[in-house]
Amino acid sequence: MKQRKWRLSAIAAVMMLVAACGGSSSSTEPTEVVQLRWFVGLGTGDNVETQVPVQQEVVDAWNAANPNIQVTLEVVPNADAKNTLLTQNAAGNPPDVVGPAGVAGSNGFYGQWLDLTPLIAETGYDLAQFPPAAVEAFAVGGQGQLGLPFASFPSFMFYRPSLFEEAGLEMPPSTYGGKYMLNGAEVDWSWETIREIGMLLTVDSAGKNATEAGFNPKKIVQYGYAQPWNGAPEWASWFKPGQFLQSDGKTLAVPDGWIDAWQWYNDAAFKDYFTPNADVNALEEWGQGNAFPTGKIAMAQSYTWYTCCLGDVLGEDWNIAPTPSFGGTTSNDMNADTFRISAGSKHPVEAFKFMTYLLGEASAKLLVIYGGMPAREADQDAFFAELDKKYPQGVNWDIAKASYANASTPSAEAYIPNYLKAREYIYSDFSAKLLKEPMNVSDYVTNTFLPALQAIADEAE
Amino acid sequence: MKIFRNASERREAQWGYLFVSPWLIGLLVFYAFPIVASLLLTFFDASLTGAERGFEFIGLDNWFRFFGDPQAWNALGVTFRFMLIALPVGILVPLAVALVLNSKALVAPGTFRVLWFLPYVIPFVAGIIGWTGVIGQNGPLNTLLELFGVTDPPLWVNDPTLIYPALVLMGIWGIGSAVVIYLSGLGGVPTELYEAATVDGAGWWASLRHITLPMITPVIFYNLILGVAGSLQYFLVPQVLNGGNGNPEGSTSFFNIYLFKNFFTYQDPSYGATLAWVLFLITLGLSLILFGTQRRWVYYAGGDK
Repeated sequence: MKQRKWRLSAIAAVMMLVAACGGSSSSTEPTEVVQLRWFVGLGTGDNVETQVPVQQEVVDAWNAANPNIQVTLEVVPNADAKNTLLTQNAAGNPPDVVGPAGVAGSNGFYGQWLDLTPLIAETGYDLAQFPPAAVEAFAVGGQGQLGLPFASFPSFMFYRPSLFEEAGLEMPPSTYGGKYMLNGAEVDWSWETIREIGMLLTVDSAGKNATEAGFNPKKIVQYGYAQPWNGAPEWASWFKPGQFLQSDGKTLAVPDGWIDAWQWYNDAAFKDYFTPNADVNALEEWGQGNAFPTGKIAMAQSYTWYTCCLGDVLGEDWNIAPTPSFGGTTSNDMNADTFRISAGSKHPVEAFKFMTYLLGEASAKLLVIYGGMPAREADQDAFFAELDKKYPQGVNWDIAKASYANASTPSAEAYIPNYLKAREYIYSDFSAKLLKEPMNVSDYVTNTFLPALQAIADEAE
Repeated sequence: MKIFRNASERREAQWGYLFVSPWLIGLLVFYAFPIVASLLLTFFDASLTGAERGFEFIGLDNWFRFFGDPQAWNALGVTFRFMLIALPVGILVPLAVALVLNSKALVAPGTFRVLWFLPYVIPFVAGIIGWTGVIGQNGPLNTLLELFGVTDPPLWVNDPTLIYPALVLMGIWGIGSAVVIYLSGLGGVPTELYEAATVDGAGWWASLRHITLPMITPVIFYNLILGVAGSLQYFLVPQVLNGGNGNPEGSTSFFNIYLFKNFFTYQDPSYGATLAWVLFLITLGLSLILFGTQRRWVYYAGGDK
């Protein structure tokens, strides 16, 4: 018995030796396959019909060409993406590449993104292909270069030409600086003009517009203007650019012109009746927060990404016009999305390779589904040509280019301490209130909104 | 002192511990450890993400913060307001249903019992999504109201005065479990008590009041305790309904939603843990009060419990 044991052990030892020698003499060393995760949902990209299949195609193409770096696409619905990503990060299981995500999407993850500067230097990635300002936009205070330019979403006014025709109104100007003819007089294309024509374009069930006697605001069948999604900072940034956080990094203040903007929206809903209030917005027939695609809205200010959500009702009956001016100047807020690498990624080098693939080779496909204008100016005409195939009515994309060229800063999504909580208060509470009840916005902001927002920011101390 | 009388007894005990060890390990790892960890967390300023990942001891600051946090108190108010409506309904409706299902006059009681219990086995999230459609603007409920002549049916989930009835309505859908518990209690009432009452000339109402209800008070008490804890922990419905945004007008900003947001959305696990402990202490306090009252109204056939 004992002898047999020894014999078996000797055979096992010889086999191990042979195996070991065989391993070292092999010419094909087994190569480790790196597994990366691409997390989508913080910004656009979660539409299962139009976006997810294309993103999967992009991943499949990468995986086929890069057998040693395999990528898994993880799409989380936008409403849950923030909490999901925070939980993954807290659990030490961050995805490698995240995006597309805008400034707001990334502000909530302060300190959780990788500084790309060493990787850019190591790989010699060419930053000259982007406008310097676009590169700088992702160099966030003290944290380094957190992203590279990818998609820009300039803003402008969407409008429905047939409703202007019906009301006997001139079409909006087709260039920035263009005048508008209203009641035989030339006026600026301003937010005040929007108010006036908005009322003319708001019609009740008896066919009366909002300027006429006997107009019934409870029986409105068509509104002059609606604001799809977004919130108070965006609404105000289309009047005048600004940010809450002051230079000391602690104090919050309401920028000039913002109270005027918010009062404009509040009056539009409750005094002039040319925009749906919160109760109307909640209704299915008014799109539950996205009324423009119902076809019963004449104008809506938004970003290029909004082309994602225009639906089928409008058909080819929409176009774009300049952002209206306020006080003689125009403020073009712009969203900018890109991809980021998690600071906790275990494979930053491979993640960077994949990220540059998304920014480069795959970008033509992705930008179209995201509605994002290429940050590379050289790619912009091709991008709009692609959009023209989708929207053949001849959309005036020169407006989008002009909005991009004259984008305002700071972004409406600028950082506030305790960002996630502050943002929730601004969007879920304050913005909702502006369309919920008539108010003196100045009083409310002074007595309630700003102190509450400051208290939230102070919690970060 | 010898614990085991002989080696066989000791071996038997060792095997016993071995067999219960998966449960014990599970209890320690998934319950005891998180409970202790969450309590400790309340005394720290913890950051689990970002560049400033770390723990800093801050004593009772999180607890003091709770007392000065208007959002927390508002959330607590919302939760209690909802509980005042939901709890009586959650206790009385299953009881009424159980009484009907237990009635001898009911045809095919087994079928009805299954039908009442069925919704309980459906994942609640799916149920909530379905109910959102039912109570939606053009949903079946409003269509029914229109059939009854209501010209402007309400927006249940957008009206702060109607949202609680809407939530309670959704809750009634899932009362199958409480109904089954009531039915088991009703089945345990000795029939000779009813027979004696019938001989004494007692009618249905007198039997219900003087026999059925007193005899099933332990079951009512049990459901009451569960109902209080369930109402205080109310989370899933508002989270699915509106992502926990508090709409309409903050009426669905429940305490548990606020707790969840602090933990995850605001990345403040220490304060989130503090809120969790506040909720636990409130639940414990209310439960102790209810246990204190049971001597007055809960009947245990075997004497005081």
